Amino acid sequence: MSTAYSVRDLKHRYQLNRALGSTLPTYDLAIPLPLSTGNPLFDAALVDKLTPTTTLNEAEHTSRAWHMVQRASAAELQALAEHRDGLLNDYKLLLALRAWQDGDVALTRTFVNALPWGWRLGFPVAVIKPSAQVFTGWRKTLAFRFVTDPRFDALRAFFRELLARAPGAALMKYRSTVQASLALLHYKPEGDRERAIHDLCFNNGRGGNSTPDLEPIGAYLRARAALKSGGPSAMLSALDDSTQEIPITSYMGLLGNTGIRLSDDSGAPFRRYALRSATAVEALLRLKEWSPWLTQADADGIGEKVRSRVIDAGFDIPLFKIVKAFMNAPQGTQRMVTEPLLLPLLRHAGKQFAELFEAPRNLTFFMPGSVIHLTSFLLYAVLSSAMPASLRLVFNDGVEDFEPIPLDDVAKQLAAPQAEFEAWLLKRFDGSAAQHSYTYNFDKIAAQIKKLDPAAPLMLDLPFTDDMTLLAAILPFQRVFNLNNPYGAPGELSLTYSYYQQLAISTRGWNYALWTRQSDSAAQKFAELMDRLKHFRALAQAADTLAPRPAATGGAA
Amino acid sequence: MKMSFRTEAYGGRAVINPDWGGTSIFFLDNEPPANTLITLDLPECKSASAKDILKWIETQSSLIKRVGNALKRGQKRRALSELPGSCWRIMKIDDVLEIANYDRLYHGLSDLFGAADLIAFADRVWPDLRERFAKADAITEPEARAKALRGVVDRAMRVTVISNNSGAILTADADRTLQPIEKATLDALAAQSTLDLKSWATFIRRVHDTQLHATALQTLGTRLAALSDSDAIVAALTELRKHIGSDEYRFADQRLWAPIEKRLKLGPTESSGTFDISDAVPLRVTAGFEIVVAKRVGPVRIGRMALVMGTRPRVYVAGERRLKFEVERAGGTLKRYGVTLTNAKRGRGVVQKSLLEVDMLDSLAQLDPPQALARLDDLKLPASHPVRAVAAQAIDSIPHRRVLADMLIELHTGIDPEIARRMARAQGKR
Repeated sequence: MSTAYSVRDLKHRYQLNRALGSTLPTYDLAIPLPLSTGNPLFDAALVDKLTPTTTLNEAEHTSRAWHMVQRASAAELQALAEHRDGLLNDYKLLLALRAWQDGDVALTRTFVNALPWGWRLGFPVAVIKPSAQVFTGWRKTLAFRFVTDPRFDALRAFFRELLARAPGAALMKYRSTVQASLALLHYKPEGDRERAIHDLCFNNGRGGNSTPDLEPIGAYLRARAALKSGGPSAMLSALDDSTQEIPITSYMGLLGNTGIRLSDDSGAPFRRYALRSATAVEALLRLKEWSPWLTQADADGIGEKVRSRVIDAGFDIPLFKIVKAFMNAPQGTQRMVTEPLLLPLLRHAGKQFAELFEAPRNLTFFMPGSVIHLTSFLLYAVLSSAMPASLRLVFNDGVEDFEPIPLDDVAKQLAAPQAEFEAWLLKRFDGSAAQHSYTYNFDKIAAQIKKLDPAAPLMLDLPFTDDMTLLAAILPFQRVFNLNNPYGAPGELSLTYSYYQQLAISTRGWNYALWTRQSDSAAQKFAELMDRLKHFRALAQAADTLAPRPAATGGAA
Repeated sequence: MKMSFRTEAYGGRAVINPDWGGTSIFFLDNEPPANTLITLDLPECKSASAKDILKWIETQSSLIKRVGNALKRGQKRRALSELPGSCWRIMKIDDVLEIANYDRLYHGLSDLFGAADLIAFADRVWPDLRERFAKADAITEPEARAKALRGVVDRAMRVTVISNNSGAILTADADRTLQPIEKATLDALAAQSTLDLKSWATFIRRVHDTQLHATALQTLGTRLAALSDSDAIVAALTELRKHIGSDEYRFADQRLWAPIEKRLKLGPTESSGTFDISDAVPLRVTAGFEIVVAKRVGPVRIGRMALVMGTRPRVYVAGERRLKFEVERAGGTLKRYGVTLTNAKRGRGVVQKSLLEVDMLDSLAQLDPPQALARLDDLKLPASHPVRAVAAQAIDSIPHRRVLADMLIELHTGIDPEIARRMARAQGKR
């Protein structure tokens, strides 16, 4: 594997830029990765957001970001345009504003079209009154502009173009954003479609007019009228007769007007449409809420919807969201959705992760054998389902190779009652499951690590450790993923677990706190890391093309 | 050596955790029940620690044979540590006089022993102990007396374990005695077709058995939730509350409120008058007696935020913290939900007023340095003032914007800008 654009190389670039003061410390980054392309603007576009961090508030991030974007060269803008899919939305927006300021409509279009619809439809607001689009709370009223001359006529034409392409569902969902854009532009609607949009935004659709290409707005208006004239059943009939489903939020709003709850007996006839209209993500987020009435057939339907969206259509739902939604649901629901929903998605995630690894791909995973948490195995099981991955369990007196654990096996335990899960642990891990100790023999761990290929990826999950022997052992490695606090090796990236405080008692003389450590976010952070790594590599190459670096004279081992 | 532990359950099997962490130890056969105090008799075991118990297990010939046959070299750590079933029995109260770990018996004594055990223990042990005290005390030679007194300490400490737990033991015994009667009372209440709220309240207030308490709350919650409509539920809760006295805490349980919450629709109770929200605290509304009897302004909903102020009854105003800012921006008085909302403390105090401006200056210095400087026009700073030079530099230099923010905040508030920011953040949370 080439060392150019390796983790080591990208970390080295980061250290250099930190020394020069041109990049932020990781605690002030939205995605705290100590990597750099070599170009501070490229870096920021990959890991920075306009949100408060440890030492910088949102205004400082915004000011810094716009300063860099304003000073970007044409070549830099072009490079960013080519890699726009990897950029964070805040920077796509700022780059679009820069292009607008330059009068480059084509480039504006490139960046705007890379944004989600909610952001696209708010582009005029970002030009005219950016605080309303960029900030939250009282800062929405701050009076300033990025773009000194909005060029209203051109902006109206641009927005007309956007509106013409916007799907009806997006216009419904982001109605308030569209309203703000139309108001600030003093927009005069033209044609039936635009008049219908205007009526929706400013008159709550009371004009009742819609066009076929604005579905499901028409479906919503017809359902609302039917509810008024004929009651809930008429509303449902109107929805069933429509060709497109209305958003679940609009449907729940209509139901709310009737006083009907899906969990009540009176809500039973209305559940089917709710399941139909919810998107894959919305269905996941509502697993817990719908648990009281979900049947196995419903669970199968949700599973099919999520699978087809994620696996077949390639829509990216963060693995973390899927696991979190699953874990939040009651056990009965978890059991229903394990096979149709969770397992296929975990397998899919494993394949996606595996594709992000360059050769050599045989991963070695070190985990504590003396404290076993089920979710600790989730990441291992996901990865090992799609690539060669060996498991080494670490005990207080040594390290052991362990037989692979199938993903299906691990995932099913997520839904198991506590006693059943414990019995499984005993069966699979024997006495290891009954030990609770975070002490290790670091010499033995280091000896095992030194036998591995430094070019192959290594994953370390050794909580509460900070040992020089281990650091020395991982120094030669190109890719070390540490699920705890970093050791500081050049090829190492840290994806820390989340620690949740369960209890804290504090007095002047002492304090006591009880923490639990959960790996529910490890899989997601890993996915995020691998995704960012891909884009860092791509933009580092672009940065080198713009400003070739001198040959390496040292630093990166 | 004898030692006592409270068993726990793991994977459907009984275990002991001698070190409260460390290694869990199972039983090969004849498992004891879980959540019970047992006494182990392990001859020649050095101490009650997990380490020594495990060493003792290893010396048992039957286990060594099992380990040697069943597992490969290097897998010994994977063996479950299991005690033979013959080494345990249920703990007797007198065991406290012999076991090695008497000082670590914290749980379970009241589950196992009752008044009769205490009486028998007292009859056996106290006269003996008294005699030992007297004997030691009677020694006149100082060194010998001291030695004799210290010699009784261990015995005294062991007996103290039972004495210290006697209150819990007697209370638990009393609860067990009453349990059948309380169960019969609860069954009778549950069987009644009409809801006798006074009787339910009395039962829940006084029941000793925690399981019956939980069942009663659940049953009552379900019965209340089954009433005809929200108004009927509110009326019933209001009635119930009259009978609970100062024992509201006995009813603060999701078993009661979760079924009710889904059916409760709380409308506003106030549609006129003036309410000062300057000290109101934003809280998420939870189901309970408080919200039922509170004064409610606007569409207060369980699970949503409201501004809460006052004392009993409290006042809930539908809305979030930004409602306070709306009142502020409206000049301190705002008509909403049919009532008048005021912010009587608006603008009170020089420091508070200044702090509202800190965030504004902090943000504008970053986004629009000239606009930020213009906000201090009233200070009539001379042209040569350093802040003007910094403001000019800040237009092109990002680091200077932070410097500008610091200077402006200090000029405006008169206090250290970092302190001002902290205070502004703290004030902003109210």
